[in-house]
Amino acid sequence: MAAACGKVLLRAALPARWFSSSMCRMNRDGEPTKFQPPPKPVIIDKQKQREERRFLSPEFIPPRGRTDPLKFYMERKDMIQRRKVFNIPEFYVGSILAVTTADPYADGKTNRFVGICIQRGGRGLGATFVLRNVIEDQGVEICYELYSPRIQEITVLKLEKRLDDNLTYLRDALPEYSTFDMNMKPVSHLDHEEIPVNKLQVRMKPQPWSKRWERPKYNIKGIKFELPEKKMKEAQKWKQPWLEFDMLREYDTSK
Amino acid sequence: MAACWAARCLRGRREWRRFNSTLSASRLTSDEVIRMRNELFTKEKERQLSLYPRIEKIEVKYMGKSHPGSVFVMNKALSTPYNCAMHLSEWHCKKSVLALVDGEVWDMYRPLTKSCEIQFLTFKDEDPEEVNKAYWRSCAMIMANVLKRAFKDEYSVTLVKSPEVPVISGAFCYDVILDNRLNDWKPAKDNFRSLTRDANKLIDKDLPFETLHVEAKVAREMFQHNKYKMELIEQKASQNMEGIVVLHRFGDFVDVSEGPHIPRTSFCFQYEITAAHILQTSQSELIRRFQGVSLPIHLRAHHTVWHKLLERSKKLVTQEKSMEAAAESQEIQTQEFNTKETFSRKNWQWIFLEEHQPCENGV
Amino acid sequence: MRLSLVAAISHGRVFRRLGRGPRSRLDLLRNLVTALVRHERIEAPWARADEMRGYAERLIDYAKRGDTDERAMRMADFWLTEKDLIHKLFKVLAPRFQPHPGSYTRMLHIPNRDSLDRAKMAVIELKGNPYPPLIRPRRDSEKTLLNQLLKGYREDAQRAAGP
Repeated sequence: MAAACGKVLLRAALPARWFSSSMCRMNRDGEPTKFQPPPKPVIIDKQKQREERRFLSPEFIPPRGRTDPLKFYMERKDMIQRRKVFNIPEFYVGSILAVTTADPYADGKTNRFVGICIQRGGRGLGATFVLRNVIEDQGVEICYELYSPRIQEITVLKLEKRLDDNLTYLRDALPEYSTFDMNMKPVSHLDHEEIPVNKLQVRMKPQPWSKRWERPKYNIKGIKFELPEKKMKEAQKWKQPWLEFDMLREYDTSK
Repeated sequence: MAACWAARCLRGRREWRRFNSTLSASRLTSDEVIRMRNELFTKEKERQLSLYPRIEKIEVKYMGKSHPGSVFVMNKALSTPYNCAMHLSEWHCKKSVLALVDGEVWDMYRPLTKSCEIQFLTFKDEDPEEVNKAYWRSCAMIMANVLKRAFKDEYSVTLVKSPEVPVISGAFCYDVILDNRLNDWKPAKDNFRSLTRDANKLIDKDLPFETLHVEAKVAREMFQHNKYKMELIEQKASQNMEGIVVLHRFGDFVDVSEGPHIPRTSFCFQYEITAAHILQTSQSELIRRFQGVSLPIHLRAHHTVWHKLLERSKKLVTQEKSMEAAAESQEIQTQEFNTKETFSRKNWQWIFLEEHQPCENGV
Repeated sequence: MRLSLVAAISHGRVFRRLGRGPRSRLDLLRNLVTALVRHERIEAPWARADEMRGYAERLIDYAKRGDTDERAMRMADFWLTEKDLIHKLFKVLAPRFQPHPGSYTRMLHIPNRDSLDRAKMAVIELKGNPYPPLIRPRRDSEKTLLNQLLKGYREDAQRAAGP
C-alpha cells in the first residue's frame, strides 16, 4: 500500500514542476512562444477518491444511554484488532452477501450461505447482521455476529442500498423478492463510485402481516401498497407530526 | 458550695496579706500572679452578683430589623445580650459580636442592669467600626496571654499596654518588656510559629471573654506588680467620673481593657503572630512591640490574599503613623475615582485584591 | 426534562406528563415558550416552567443558526404561536445570546400559588432582560474588617509604586 501511494505521489509531483517551468519561460519572453505545451495529463488519484467517501461501520457509533465508555473503548480496540487480521467489507442493508462459516458437521467443515442483508444490529463487539434467502420455498434467515471467530469469509456479491434501513418487511413480501441464487456471481463495483440505491418497491402477500407496515411509524418506502384507500387513510391516524418539533428527543450521533 | 466559697475567699485574703508583706522583698512567679489575679477577679464578680439578691425583671426591647418590636423580659444583672440573642435565633447567637444597649457598646457577656433597647452588631454591618476595634483589641489580648505564658519563669515578661491601632494599619500589636537578659534576642521565624500555635490552642478552647467593671482600688490591687498597668489604671480611673476601670478575663488571663471585646475566642479563624519590633524610647528598658494579624470566622480570606496580609503585617505599626494613614486615606478616597482604574490596569494584583466578596455573575 | 435524583432511577421516563397526551403537552409548552419570548419573564407552575426551560433554550440554540436556516425557521414557526415574535427571536434574542454557549434562562422558586391549588410556582426569565434583577447581589460594605485590611494593603502598594 505504501509503495503504491508513493508512486502516485511521485507521478503527481512531476508534471507540476514541468508546468511551472513552462510558465516561467512564457513570462521571460514577454510574448507567447510558438511552443505548444503538451496537454496536461489527467491523473486520477485513486487513493484520494477512496478517502473522500469515508465509510464508518455503524457498530463504531457509541451507544446512547448510561453505558460505560471504558467498556466501549476496550471493545473498539478489540474490533480494530480483529479488522486487522480479517477483512470485513463495507456493506449495507440491502446488499447481497455470501458468508462462509466454520461448521464441524458440514462437508469440508465449512458452510456458505448467500442472502440479502435485511437488518444490522448491535453495537461494539456484539454487532450482528441478518441474511435472508428463500431456499426450496422456505424462507431462511441467519443472524451472524460480525466479529465472531467462526466466520471465515464475508464476500459482498452485490453492493447496493435499498430505500429503507430495515428490510424485515421482506418476510411479508412475495418470496420472489428474497430469493437469490446460491451460486451467484459477484457484481463488480469500483471503489470510488457512489453506492447505488435500488429503488425497487416490493409487492406484499395479502394481509395479515407481521406488522402494520402501512403505518407512518415505520415510514416504509420500499413497499408498493395495494391496499384500499380507506385503509391507507386510517393508517395516517397514527401519525405524530409533533415529534419532529420535540427538540429534546433529538440525539445527534454525528458529534 | 458556700463553704467552699468562703474557704477560697479566706485563702485569698490570707495570700493577699502575704503579698502585702512580701511585695517589695521578692518577685512572684508568673503563675502565682495569675492565680492571685483570678481569685480577685472571681471574688469581685461574686460580690457584684450578691448586690442583687432577688431576681428582678427588666424589659429589653429589640430594635433590629429581623424581629421589629420584640420585647424580652430578662433578669436584672443576670441576663446578658447573648441571652436575648438566644431568644431570637441561632444566627443572632453566632454572628453577633457586640450589642448596642441604649446607644452604648456592650459586651455580649456583660449583664444588663436596667430596662433598655438593644441591637446587635456583626462583622458585616454597614459600618462595623466598633466591631472591628473590639476584634483587634481581643486579638491583642490573646497575643498578650500567649506572650505571658511563652517564657519560662526565669525570664520576666512585663506587659505594658496594647496601643489602639485602626484595622487599616494592617496589624494589631501589644507592647511588652522582656527580661534584660533577652535584650539581644531576636525572635526567629520558628519562634513566631510556636507562639502562633499557642494562640491557636487558646482559640480552639473557645474561651468566653468575661467583663467586670471594678473600682480603681480593686484593679490597683490586682496589678500591683506591674507599674505600667498601674499607670494605665490611674489614667483610666481619672478619665471616668466614678473611677471605674474595665477588666476583661478569658481563661485565666486578666487585663485592663480599653473597651468591649468579642464574646468568644473561637470567633478568630485565621490568626498569626508575625513580627516583633524594638521601640525607640528614652527609657532604660527595651520595649518590644509584638504584632499579628487575624481574620474572624465570618470573613475568611483566600490563602494568597492572606499571605499578602501577613507580609504587610510585619511592618511596624504606630499610632501616629496609623493616624496619618487614616487621614491620607480620606484624601485618597476623593481621588480614587480617577486613579483606581489606571491602577487596575497597571498591576494584575489589583484585580483580586479589589474587594473580597461573593458576587453573582450572570449574563 | 427532569433533572433530579429521581432521574437516576426513572426507568427511561424523562419527560413529565402534562396536559392530555403528548400532543397537548407540546401545545401547552408552546404557549409558555411564546409567552417567555414575548415577556422575557413569566410566572408558571414550577413543573411546567422546568419542562419548558429545555425547549426554550434549544429554540434559542436553533435561532443562533440564523434565519436562513430552514430547520431553524420551521422550529420557530412551530414553537412561537404568535408569528410576530419570530422576528424578535432571530433579530433580538439570537444576537443577545451569541457569545454564550448555553443556560440562557434563569429559574427561581416563588411562594406556592395560594389562590387555586397551592401549586409550586416558579418565575423563569431570559437572562439579560431589561427588568430590574430578581435577586439583588449582596456586597459586603467597604468597612468590613477584611475590606479595610485590603484597602490598607492597596494604599501601601500605591504609595510604594507612586513616589
